[in-house]
Amino acid sequence: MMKDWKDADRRVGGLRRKTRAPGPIRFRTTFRNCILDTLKRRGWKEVEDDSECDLNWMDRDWIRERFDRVHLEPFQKVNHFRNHYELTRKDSMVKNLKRMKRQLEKEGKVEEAAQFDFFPQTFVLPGEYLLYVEAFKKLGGVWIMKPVGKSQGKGIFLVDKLSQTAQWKHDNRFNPDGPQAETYVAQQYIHNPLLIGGRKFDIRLYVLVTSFNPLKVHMYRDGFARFSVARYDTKNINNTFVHVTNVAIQKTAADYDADTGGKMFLRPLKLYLISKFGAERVNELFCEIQLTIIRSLQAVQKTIINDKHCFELYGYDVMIDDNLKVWLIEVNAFPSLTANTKDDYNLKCAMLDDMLSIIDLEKRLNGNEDQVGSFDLIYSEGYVKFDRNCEYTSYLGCTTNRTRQLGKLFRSRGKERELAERKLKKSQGGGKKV
Amino acid sequence: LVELLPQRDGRGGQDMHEWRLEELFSEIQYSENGDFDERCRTVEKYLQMDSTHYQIKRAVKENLMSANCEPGNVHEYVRKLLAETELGVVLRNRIYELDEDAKKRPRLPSKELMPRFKPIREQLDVVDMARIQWDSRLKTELRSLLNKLSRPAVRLRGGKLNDDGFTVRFIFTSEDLLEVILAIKNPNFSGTFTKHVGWNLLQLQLQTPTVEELRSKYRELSPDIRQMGVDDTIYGSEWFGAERERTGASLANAGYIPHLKNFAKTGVPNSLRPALWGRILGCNPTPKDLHRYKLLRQNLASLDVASDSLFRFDVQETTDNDEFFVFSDPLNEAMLIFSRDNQVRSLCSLEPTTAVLEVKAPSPLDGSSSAETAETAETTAPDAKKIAIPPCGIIPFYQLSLIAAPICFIHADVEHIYYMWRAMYCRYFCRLHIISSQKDTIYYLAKTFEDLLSTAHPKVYYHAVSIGAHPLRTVFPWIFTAFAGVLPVFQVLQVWDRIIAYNTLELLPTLAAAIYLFRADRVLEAKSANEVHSIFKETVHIQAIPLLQHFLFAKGKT
Repeated sequence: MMKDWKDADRRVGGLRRKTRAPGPIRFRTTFRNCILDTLKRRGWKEVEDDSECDLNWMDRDWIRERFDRVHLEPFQKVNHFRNHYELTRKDSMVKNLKRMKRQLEKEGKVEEAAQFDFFPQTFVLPGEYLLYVEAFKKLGGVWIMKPVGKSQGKGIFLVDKLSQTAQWKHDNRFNPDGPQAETYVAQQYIHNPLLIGGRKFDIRLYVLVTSFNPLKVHMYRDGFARFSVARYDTKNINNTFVHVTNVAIQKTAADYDADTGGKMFLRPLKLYLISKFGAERVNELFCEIQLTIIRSLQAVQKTIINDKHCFELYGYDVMIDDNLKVWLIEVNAFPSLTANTKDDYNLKCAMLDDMLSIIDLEKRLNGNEDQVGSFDLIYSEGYVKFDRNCEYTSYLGCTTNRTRQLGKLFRSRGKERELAERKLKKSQGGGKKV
Repeated sequence: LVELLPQRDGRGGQDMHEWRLEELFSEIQYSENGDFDERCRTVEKYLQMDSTHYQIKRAVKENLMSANCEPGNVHEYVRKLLAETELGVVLRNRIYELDEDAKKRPRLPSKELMPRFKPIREQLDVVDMARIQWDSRLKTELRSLLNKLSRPAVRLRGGKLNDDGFTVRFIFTSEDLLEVILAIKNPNFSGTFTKHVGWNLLQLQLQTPTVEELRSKYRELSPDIRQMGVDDTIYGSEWFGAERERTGASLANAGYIPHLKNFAKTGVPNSLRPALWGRILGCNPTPKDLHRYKLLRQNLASLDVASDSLFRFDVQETTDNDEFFVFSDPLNEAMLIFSRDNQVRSLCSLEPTTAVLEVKAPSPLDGSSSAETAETAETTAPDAKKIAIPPCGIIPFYQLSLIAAPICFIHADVEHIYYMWRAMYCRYFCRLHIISSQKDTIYYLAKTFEDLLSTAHPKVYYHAVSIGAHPLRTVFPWIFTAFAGVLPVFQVLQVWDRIIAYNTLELLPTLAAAIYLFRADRVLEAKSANEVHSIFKETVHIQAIPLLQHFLFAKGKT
């Protein structure tokens, strides 16, 4: 292919730039949705060449096939970590969480280990099939089967009798040693989700990790809840429209409303929950969501290969049950950046814009800001301290004043730089005079 | 009038006053020259007729039976009982309500020579004529719509709910109402001869309050006083929200309505809203209410009224947007039950409509579906059992359910939502949809807006009129729905807090004027009506209470 040949030429010939060429920031992406609009809006230029661009915003295929082979200069960035699947694949996530829990218990930190209970009981099939059968017999209830490799809710189904799993096992003719065996996870279904208007929902949150070692986590204040179209009904487990809240599935329902998109934003949701449960409980709940996210990242901190060129934007899916307990459903490394309504578009563009400000390719910030736009730093080698006067213990779901905050931030940084430059000039000038 | 309490003991055995026949079921009125004692006696008289009184008496008697206190201490014991328990609160609230009621009505003449004064509903006969025309127009439209549906107006359900397709349209929208009230003009007005009519669209000369009057009336909104909606979001004073919750919770437990209203004047914290509004509106469903709700549900299941599809269509329109789509089911049920509730007409503070379409009710005795269309039904014998279409007497219009939607954010279960919605509509919102020249109705509110805006900023008013986008046309839909669907839900709820606290809708045109002034500069730059329209479409970031404060209290405005 032409590209490979060009690259080969480069590697052989040398003329590889170590520092970036002057000019506007250049990026490369295959996406054509919100991310492209946001990048263009910042005045950055789209280029085709690997070696010239400052930012690579790539899709799944490129990450899987080319990332390992490409060489990145110090000024270049990629929007994924090499082995992000440790966090995002359902079976790896479970494995890492269980390992973390065991380790904490071994170290004697029993309380901390007990806090890692935000994941419902899960077994990876086909490997842990027998353990799953045992647990099913003991606990009963409804279990949800999710294929590990697929996304957007594809292939998910529910079982409430062991015979159904046996049926599926037989249907798929899966063979633990065979190559076609598709890995599934069997997870205990959350049978008592919190309902609003009689409908089930889950919450999508955006989390930016700029490095895993040291662990630095930013969380976006806004997010949205995705509702199922039909009323929640525990009797009919075959109706995917009731139980699976992904927009991709809900879109195909007969009475799906394209205008509304089935989403409610986080702030109205928080205010609604406050009027229902009281401010204190909701405060605890949102703080718990934040802590859950941090704990899940701590669990994979050691396994992910840290890389100065890498950062990642995760889409966290969280569900709340009617005891106001937080459950982590899954983590997405490729959250959908296509918007289906105007408000959705505004939220995603604002979020991506703030993310790009934190990545700071223009080198305007110091790197230790607590808040950039609507992203708050929640963990940086330790939990970020909270303002004691504030009655909330988490900024999640609070009002955002991002344009004003960004303006203030960049102005103050600009002033600092000016002052520093002036000081430098003075000291230099003073030296010269003498 | 707080001193009323010590005089109210649940004494058994009061002397019965002689009742005059007309007095027995009339409404409480104070007499003209009565002093405080006289008023106390009137309130006491009416209190004895009240059902709350009997309930409290019964509860006190039961308590006395089981508590076995000595006969000599009965007075003391009863006094203590009333002071400490819920019974005392209910009694005090009832006295307060009676007092408020009496203050609203005109005073009785002191000499009984004159006949009892019957309050006239409408003082201006042009307005009265317009109202009658409007009512009959709605009735004809409803009738023709139902005829088009080509199914009987009322029939017993065959078992399952069959949904006729939505071939319905709205009976009227806020624009229709606006056109009708703009056409009202008084032939005595001098402008008909001199042709000096001014910039206002509304042609009746009603007296509306000025900014100074509003400022003194709503002095609790002053920026000197901390408000929910303003001070709980400012960085550095978030403790205010927590403190308000504590005060509010203790007041809600005590439950005396005037205190709660005073508290609500500076805003209600989100978590306390269900409790506080429930107390002030008196809409917490009692077991009797819940039973009634069940009966209405059975009615809904067994009887199929043609107006149902109108209500359902309206709910579908309302829940078609991002804010309310979650609540489509509870809202649907609440609105349908509302349409079947025939108590609504009598509960409304101003009678909604005088021309009600009535058809013969199908009885299970003479066949399961008395197939009568709306047309033939009215000519049946006058003594046949009649049922109104819709049974509540309120003809559904575009955005009726939109006004109910913010209430879904306060309560979770349908019964509570329904009773709160009913209380809010009957007390306040029904006045927004009828033609009348009384204070606090839509005509008066629209006129208030025009006067406030034209005095505050005549330049922008004139400019808007000259490009063909009269401010009233922009703002009328906002007042019509009490800002539901216009502002974000929790801003709307804060505005409604103050409506309930001050017991008046006057803040609606004030807020409309404040919002218009906020965008005045952009309106001045606009060159066409479309531009003005698009300026005001973007309302997501508007914060209602700070704008109100600015409008009323800012010094040195242009």
